Amino acid sequence: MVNLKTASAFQDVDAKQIGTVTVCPADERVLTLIAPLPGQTPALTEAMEGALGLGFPEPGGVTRAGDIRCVWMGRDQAVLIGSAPLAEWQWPALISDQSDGWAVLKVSGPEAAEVLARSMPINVRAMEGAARTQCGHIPISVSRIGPENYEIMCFRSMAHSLFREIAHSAALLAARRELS
Amino acid sequence: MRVDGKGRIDREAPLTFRFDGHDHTGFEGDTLASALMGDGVRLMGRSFKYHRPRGVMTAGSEEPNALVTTRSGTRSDPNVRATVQELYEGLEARSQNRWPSLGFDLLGMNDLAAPFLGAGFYYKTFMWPRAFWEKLYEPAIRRAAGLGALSGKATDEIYEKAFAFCDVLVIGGGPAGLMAALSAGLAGADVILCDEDAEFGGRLLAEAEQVGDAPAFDWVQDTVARLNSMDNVRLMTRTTVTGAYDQGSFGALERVAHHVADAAGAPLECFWRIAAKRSVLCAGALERPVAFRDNDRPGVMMAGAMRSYLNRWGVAPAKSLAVFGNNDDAHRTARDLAQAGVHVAALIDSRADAPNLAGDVPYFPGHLVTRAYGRRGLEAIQLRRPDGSQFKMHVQGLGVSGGWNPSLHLSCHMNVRPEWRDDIAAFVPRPDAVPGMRVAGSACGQFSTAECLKSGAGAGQEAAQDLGFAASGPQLPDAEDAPYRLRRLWAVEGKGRAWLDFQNDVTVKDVVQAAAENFASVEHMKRYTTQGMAPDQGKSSNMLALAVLADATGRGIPETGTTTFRPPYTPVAIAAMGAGAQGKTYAPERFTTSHDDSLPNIEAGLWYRPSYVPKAGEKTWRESCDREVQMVRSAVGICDVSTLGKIDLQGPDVGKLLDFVYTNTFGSLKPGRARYGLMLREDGFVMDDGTCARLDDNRWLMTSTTAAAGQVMRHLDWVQQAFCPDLALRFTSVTEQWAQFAVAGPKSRELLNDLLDQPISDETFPFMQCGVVSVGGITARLFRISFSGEHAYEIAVPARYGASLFETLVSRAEVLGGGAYGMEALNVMRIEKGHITHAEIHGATTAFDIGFGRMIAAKKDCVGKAMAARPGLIDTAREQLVGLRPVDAGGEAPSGAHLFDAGAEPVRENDQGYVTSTCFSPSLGEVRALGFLKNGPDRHGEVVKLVDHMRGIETRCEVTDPVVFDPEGGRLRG
Amino acid sequence: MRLTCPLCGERDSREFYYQGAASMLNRPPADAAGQEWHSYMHLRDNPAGEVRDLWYHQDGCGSWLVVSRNTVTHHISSVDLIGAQNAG
Repeated sequence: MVNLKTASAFQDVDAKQIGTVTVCPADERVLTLIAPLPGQTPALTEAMEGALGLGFPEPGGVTRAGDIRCVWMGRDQAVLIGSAPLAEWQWPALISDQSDGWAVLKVSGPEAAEVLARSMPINVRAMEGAARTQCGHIPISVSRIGPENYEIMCFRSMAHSLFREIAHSAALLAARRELS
Repeated sequence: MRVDGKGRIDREAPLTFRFDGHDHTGFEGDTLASALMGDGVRLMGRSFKYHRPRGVMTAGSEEPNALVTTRSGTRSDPNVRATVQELYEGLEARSQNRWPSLGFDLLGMNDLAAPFLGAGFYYKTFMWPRAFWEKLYEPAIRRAAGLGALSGKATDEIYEKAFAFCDVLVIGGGPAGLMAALSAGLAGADVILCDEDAEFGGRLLAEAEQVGDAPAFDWVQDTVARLNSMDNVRLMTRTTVTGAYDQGSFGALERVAHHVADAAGAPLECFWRIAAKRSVLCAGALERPVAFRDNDRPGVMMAGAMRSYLNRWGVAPAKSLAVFGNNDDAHRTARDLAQAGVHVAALIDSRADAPNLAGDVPYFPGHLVTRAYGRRGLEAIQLRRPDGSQFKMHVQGLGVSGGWNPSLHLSCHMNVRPEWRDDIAAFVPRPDAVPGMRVAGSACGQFSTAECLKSGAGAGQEAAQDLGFAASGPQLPDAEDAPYRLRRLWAVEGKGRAWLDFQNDVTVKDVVQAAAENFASVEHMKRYTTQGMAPDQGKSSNMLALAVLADATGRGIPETGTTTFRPPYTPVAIAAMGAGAQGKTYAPERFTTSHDDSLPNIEAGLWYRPSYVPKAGEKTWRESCDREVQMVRSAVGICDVSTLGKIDLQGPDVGKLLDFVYTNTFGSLKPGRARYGLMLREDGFVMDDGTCARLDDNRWLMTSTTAAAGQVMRHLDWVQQAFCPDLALRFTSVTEQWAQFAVAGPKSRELLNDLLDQPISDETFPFMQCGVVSVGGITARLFRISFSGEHAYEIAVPARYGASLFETLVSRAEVLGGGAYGMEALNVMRIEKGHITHAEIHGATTAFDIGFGRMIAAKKDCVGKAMAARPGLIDTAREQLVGLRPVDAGGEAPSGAHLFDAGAEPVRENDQGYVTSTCFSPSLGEVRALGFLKNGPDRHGEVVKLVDHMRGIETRCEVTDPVVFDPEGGRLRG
Repeated sequence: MRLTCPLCGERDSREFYYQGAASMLNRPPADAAGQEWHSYMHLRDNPAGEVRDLWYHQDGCGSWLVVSRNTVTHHISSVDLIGAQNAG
């Protein structure tokens, strides 16, 4: 009997405190991409609310129920985070497990927005909810978790590049603060 | 020389520095220019063309003469303006554009050749003999040209980029800018205030005047402190807004660490992209000179700059000074100097009726300065009295003022020209030249401090109100409100050369000559004389040159027009614009779950894949590759194929979409089956190929090639949104969700059955079957598809298990006499089978060309179908896919070689085709290639001539069917 | 250059992919005459003024957009999802 072992997206990369900012790989969690069939968003929302207590989010938005979040990911798409793996639920939508496809990085601290402003061409200082954009040349989804708290998702294969990009910006910012 | 009691440098904090190998002392707060001036240095550079000795002319970023190189080695930084370089302990600077030294520059001989080097000389000289241009003239000119030099080595300095967003961007932090920022900030708008200087204050840093009841500098400090305390205001010093772009975008260069000896890990510069809803341009004004004979002598400078050096840095260029101008403002220089105890030998005003505003100084109204003496430093000036007689006066410094030009450059960046104001004899920005930008203060021709404060406050307030913020505006302090009085004077008549553009060495004579040769439009004059084309973009010369041209062509200034300004306002290093794109930050690295750094990996787009997997003792890639091919074809091989695009499609209408994007039919595909598909562009050429599997009634998995994954996704989004928005389907990329491995070779099923929880057979899992399987309890997917032509599968698991599955597969393969294989072997095997890759479907080949014309189903429309049917794209004379086999021993068939009839001359007119892919085939023991040949399918057996002109290779090749190994496909179905 | 994506808001143009003229939305039927296909694929107006172009929000929401832009002033007068534009 084969016994396959698991590996995380951020193999060999630990959380790092750089200046006032902490860059930390998130724990593994269930991620499910949900995309309502054309015209079926209201029906999907009803089904989701019934089953999980949260609806399908508006563009740029996030819906919540307890520890479960549904984060808008693009046109007619959202990712459900933290629920149990979805079985054969009869929802009028595409249901696609993406728990392995995305790497998630948490960036927090008083200067988190300053650091992310080095790589993200959006107003991270003022953002609420979630956005799809780039971090350098890496396509990402970024969520504002709190005033000094962001979560960034990128394709698993680019996890190390994402970490390096953000850690590099944080290091430059920290060095700049040291200048006379 | 230093002037006691003046300047805001810290005389308790001396700094030592070196210039051209000599030690000097300055103080904290000095610039390199002010420190050199303080130490009595007047000669700071040599001009571009004639190598004339030059000194500093201004006190700001518009400086044309004092360009130096700072730092050394890989950090050597050329063309630094000494007026902008903040002094630090140990600073090292060298003058430029001179040999062997600044004091003794052999190329000064150019000055003697001046009669031959006037406007447009290079269109008239260096033409004969023709051969001499490349061999002698051009190399010589190239050596002599340019100002500073790069080190020629890669820099190790760090440049950074960043993005910022605001409601109101205030450009310039002098009196107007400070009030604009305050005004908008108090109204509640999110404000960014930028200034190119190390401190805010603008002109107020250089003037001895009061604002409110206190010295101007105190008012500046208080206002800055107030702005600093506001959460909604961000202050950025040492930040030049370099360009205004569309939709409120601005570029800004922040000089983060030029003022320290060692950046110690901080970026040297940061290039900002700022998006502002509104902007207020408060960039101030730049003084313009008056041209007269030899007005470029070291020691001749702008009168306003002389005042800055005195009041801000406590230095004066020499012991005995004179001031020459056509306006009231020049009098302030004479006044401030005299009050500081510096000897003012003369205040010379061209206006006969202008009263003396400078107090007790020798006053010469109605006089003109006609000449400056002293090649290596001013010694004397010649004056002309109103009656025309002339006399000489001994001075070592001369401040010149021809008036002030509003700094409107940014307002012209969107291709709107400024408008002329007769009353101030200057151009001002045209309203709405940049959407959303207002202009305030001197930048729009309001020169008094009181006017600046008021107009800045007003502009900031209006900008905030535009965005819905209620603004009442801050209180305006009292400030000087002197009227701006001047009488035009551009150039003083006389013999000799009077200088206009100091950076490109253009004189009044050059402009007049250009006009005489009928280069009468300002655009022509600019290019013919090169006036305004140097790094300073003509900041101190444009106005004068235009006026001279207007005079010479008998027109007024507005009629003569003006050239436009383009970003950047001051030079920006390419490293700053390219920040964030050096080395690996240029492109993210994509790694598979089986990635092994110890292997020779190649780049496949952003992915890294192993070329080959060397075994101990193997010395060349060919050894490994040959062995891997034989290993796969005789036992079993494992290869990571995760990088291919994978798209999850769900819904009842997926089949309809697939029928539209693929040439062949998919709607009828049964669950559990996979099919090879071809995708065209709308112009009929092949975009991509791949297999598409139907996992269930309403669930499909499409694959694409690695290279085209992004393009295919974009194409699907296009088709769905543009043409099929109502079809009941959705899709998403799952390339990264699944780690996928090829298991290929005669022993593939044996290996898998040892691994899968439930075994498979040829009956339960025939060729092109797909389905869900289980490996150690983990749900996986299995596809029986083959790129190698062997009995093969691809097995996919969620990526977290990828590394582990790969390890398991490889170790089990090794037990069976197989192992891992890489891209080289993969490529050899597919060439042997005539399978195409993007080497063949390179964007200019059709389905017909690759022999798949019949794959375009007749009964349905698909993307590209109509255009693919164009007669020219199905003509048998087209280059079509063939195999190629060298007939001579040792013959090579390199990719890119061209094909010719056996007896034809290998020239372009006889071109019959080209080679796309090549390999040594271990299975057949010879070189094999794929390529395209005119009328290929009808020429099997013919011998053609293959010529690689670049590598100098010529080979005779037999034309064959593309599939040369196991053409019946028996091995697939084993 | 900044484009206001209807879903994501105002964004830097670096997030977008430019395709070409919005006339690409009017795809001729498969059996249309060659001239019609030729016009659809190759013939374009080149005005000094308003043009309607297709952009794809590649590193954003993945929406295809029609952008109305003035080629002289660069003013962008509208950005719409192509679903909203496309009657078909």
